[in-house]
Amino acid sequence: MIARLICLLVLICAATLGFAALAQTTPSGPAVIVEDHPEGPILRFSRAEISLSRSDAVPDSGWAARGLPALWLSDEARAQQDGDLSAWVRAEFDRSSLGNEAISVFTEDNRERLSVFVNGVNIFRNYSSDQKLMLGWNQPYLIPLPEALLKPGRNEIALRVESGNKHALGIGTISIGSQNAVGAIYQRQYFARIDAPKTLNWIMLLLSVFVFVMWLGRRQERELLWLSLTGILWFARNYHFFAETVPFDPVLFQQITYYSVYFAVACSLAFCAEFLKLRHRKQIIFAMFAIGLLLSVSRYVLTLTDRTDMASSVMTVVLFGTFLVLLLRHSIRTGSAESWMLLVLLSLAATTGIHDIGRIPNIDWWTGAGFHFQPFIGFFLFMVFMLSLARRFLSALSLVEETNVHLEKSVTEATDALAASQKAQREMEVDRALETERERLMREMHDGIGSSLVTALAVARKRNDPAPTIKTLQRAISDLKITVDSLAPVEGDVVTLLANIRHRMEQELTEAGIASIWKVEDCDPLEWMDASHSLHLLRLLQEALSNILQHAKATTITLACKPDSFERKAGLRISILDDGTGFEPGSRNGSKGLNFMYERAAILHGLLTIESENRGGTAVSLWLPQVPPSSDLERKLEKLDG
Amino acid sequence: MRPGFSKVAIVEDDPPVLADICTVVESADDMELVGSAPNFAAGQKLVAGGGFDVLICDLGLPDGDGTDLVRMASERQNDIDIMVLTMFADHQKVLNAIRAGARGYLLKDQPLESCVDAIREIRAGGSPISPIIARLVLKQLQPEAEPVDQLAEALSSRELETLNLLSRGFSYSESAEIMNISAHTVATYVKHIYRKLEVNSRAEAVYEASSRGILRS
Repeated sequence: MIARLICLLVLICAATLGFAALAQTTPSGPAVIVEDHPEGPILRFSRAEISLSRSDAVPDSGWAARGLPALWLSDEARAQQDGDLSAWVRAEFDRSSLGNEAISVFTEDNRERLSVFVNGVNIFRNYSSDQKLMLGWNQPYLIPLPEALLKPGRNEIALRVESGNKHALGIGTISIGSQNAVGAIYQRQYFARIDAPKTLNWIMLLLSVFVFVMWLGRRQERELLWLSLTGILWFARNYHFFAETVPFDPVLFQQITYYSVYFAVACSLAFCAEFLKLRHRKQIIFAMFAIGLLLSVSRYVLTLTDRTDMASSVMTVVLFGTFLVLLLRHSIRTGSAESWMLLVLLSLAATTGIHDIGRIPNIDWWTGAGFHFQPFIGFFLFMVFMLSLARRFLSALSLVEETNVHLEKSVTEATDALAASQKAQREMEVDRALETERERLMREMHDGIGSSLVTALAVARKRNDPAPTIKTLQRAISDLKITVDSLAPVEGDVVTLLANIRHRMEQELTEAGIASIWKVEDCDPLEWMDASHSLHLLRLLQEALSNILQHAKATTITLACKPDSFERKAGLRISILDDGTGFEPGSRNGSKGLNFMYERAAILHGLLTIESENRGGTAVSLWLPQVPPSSDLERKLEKLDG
Repeated sequence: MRPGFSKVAIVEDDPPVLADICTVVESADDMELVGSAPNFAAGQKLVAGGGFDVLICDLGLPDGDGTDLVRMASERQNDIDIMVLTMFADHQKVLNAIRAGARGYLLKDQPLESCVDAIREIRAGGSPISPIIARLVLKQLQPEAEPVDQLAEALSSRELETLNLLSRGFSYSESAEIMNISAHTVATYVKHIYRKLEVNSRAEAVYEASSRGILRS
């Protein structure tokens, strides 16, 4: 691949040189070419008389016929003249061949100061003072020819070009035509050579300063430095394309203009290397600048010996080419769209560079597009670099945002997890405390009162004590057992509590000849029930069963539990029905046991009814809410807040 | 050995209670008292000596924890029946005893005559259970409950069903009717469940020990 690319480069160079050889043949044919333009005919002078005279007025002698444009007269002029260089060109034209409209002369590529004479009268100068060096080489000029000075038939037009001794001297193109015809060409050229480059390069300078300030804030982003230097150096290089006058010492300005191009190229390449994070990029960047310096020296030596600087210009292309090879290797290896895009872009820049080299006066292979591409290329490179960088920064910003979002989520999750674990820990601590307390109570009951009661019961049984004594002792032990049961972790499962009461009292019931019928349905646990609630419930149920055992003379009891709503509130209903004697409606108020049952039901947020059935027997019914009233209220308040 | 004949050993620190139980057991035709111990130390010797197939053991001994005696007896001889003497049959004590290897419990306030009935019942393969204990066992042995499941012996669906009915308060005979089996089978299921609880608690202990690096094999 690399070999193929080198071959391609060689081919391009060869084709360029071949084309240049063809283009450089001496112009022949008519001295004036008449071009048809929609706005009228244009006369373009392809040959004229040229005199290397330093006379201020149109000289009388020393004229020699030459082809136009004569872009490179510097060497000849330096040979004949000391100090500032000067040359004259003159040509004749027929006013009548151009119709009756006002006519103008259009000229460009004159180096550097320009004066225009019609029939010996000076009608235009591009400079105001002799001291100031003009930059006329890239400026197109449109100079109206005053009708008063023109004769009906043949007229003479003469141009004088002047330049400093160290600067280039040359005569550019000269065309005459109607104001509109040459004006259109002038407009186009002025835009391409001056307006557009000026606007774009000033924008580039401004952006470069901005980027440089950004780099000052973030020194580690070296791409920013290379980008701003690229812009600044290309501006320095391109300034002479659109400026009319030299802003400071002409020689220094010339040197800056010449040498800045190598470093502008080196900076552009350095940016690419840094941007694409090429391997060994430090060495590559160093090499690029070393080559730039070498080219500067070589150019300096070449200009000292009055030789052409074409060699260093071609070497710039070679510098570009070397980098392109590196870039191609990188592109193939990584396959990234970015590097391929930069490769294409830099190749384009290199091609336009060759185009511009062909337009250098002392090379003069072609006129090409009629203007230099270079002032655009710098800007083009700069903008693409900047946009690539901006794209990368934007995606980095998005990444940061995404990371932030992710981080926030993680923090929220971690906070939640922490809160949950703290809650769990608190609950565990509460559970442990309860457990410790329960164990203490149990020990107390086992070793103390429980032990004594069991011993007492055993003694009473052995001595055949009266039945009431034994019964009382048994009931005391039963009470203790129920207290113990209330501490069991049943999590509000009312069915289990009811079942355990049955289990505990089964033997007593059996002994009393009472059969129990068990009718329970699945009920949701009452989450609000704690150990004290359990105890109240167990005691309430125990009391109800004791009442039956003692007073009812029943043969069966039915224990039931099922989900039941009361006043549209969810809950469950426990009922104990017996087939005994029932009770007198008035008698229940006096019973202490019954009052306790109502009190316990109230503590349980429940509703207790005790009714004597018509057919005989008693129905004890306890409704318990799924959600206690206070938390019901809290939920409503929460809803209002929400 | 005659079928249905039980050799009973008793560990109880309260002398009158011990004497009473011994009397009741000795007077039963199908039982023989092979030994008794009034404390933990004597209990250890009794257990180590073996020769009994029913052990009745008090949990609150003055010089040690009766649960340890239960565990020792169960590990030494897997086919014996162990019953613990408890005052209230509270869930914590009963569950610990079952995990250690007990298969039944006697309430201290029960008339002593019912004591031999309980021994006969357990010898016949059945065990008692209260709804609270059934509920707690169900919670512990539910398939998804523990990470040591792969070690654990899971309950069969019939056993789960039994446990579920018992925890909801149905008696053995009611549960048997619902499941269309005999009451005795229900009692047997309970005994099997107790055995699995013991096996699982052993496995858990091994698992915990190995995950703490105590066991290295």
